[in-house]
Amino acid sequence: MRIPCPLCGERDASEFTYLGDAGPRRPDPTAPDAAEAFHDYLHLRDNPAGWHVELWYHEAGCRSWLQVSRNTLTHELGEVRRAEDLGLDEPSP
Amino acid sequence: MPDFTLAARSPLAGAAALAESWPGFAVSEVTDLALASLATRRGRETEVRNRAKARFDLEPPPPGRTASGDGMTFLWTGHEQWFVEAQESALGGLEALLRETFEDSAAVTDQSDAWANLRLEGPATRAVLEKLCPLDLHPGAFPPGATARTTMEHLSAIITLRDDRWRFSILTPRSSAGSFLHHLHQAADSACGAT
Repeated sequence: MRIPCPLCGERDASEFTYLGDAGPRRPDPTAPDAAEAFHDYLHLRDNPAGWHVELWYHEAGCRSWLQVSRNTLTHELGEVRRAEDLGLDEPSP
Repeated sequence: MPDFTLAARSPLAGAAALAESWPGFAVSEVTDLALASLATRRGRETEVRNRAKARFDLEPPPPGRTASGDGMTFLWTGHEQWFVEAQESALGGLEALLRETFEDSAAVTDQSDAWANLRLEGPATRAVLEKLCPLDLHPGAFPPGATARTTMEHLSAIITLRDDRWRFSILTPRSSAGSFLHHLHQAADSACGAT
């Protein structure tokens, strides 16, 4: 599998490390329903057969975090964007 | 007065007389260049460009490119980050010069002793690198002045094409430089015939 890094161009997947689903956001730990929200955040994850939006780190290249659309059935890659450009680097509450 | 004095040793000084050659390929260690990293602080991108332009009359290069001028070379290493290479003797302290130039608009860290700097040259260089490097180094894909950080034999490497023919340089971490050199020798033996 080759991932088209927006900065470096297409690179072998061995240069990247995988974090996981890009969707879930860390809940606010001070909210009254924090315990339930963290249970959902930690344990109730989707495992789609098909397109999945996920986070990868270009560790052996430019060290950018990337949001990658990947088809889990075919490993076909869709849109790849830098997480920073999407505002995903803002600190969690 | 200390009881002993320490002498500087280049990363591969233990690999005796590292100026080795094969038919069509040669590798040597570059020991006279200072190296520092430059990382732009958030929101200061324009200021870093302006300061580089004013002081060194060069534009920090875009992704995958190098830029040279005023005795120094900028190598792109990441988003708004570069390695800066220069002849130390000509400057009297690269790190200090960069700190003075960029003040608090960028983080400057001396990298000189952390990396082994290898020079690879000869018409067979691409044939040797084909056995190590996962990138396409054909001149159409990796033109003169191109630079890239990748891995070779699981070891980190920053590869740069220095001229319009086949003079490459590779920066690789000092701690694993001996292993890197071993793999380079094996690739050279395989591509050019053992010496």
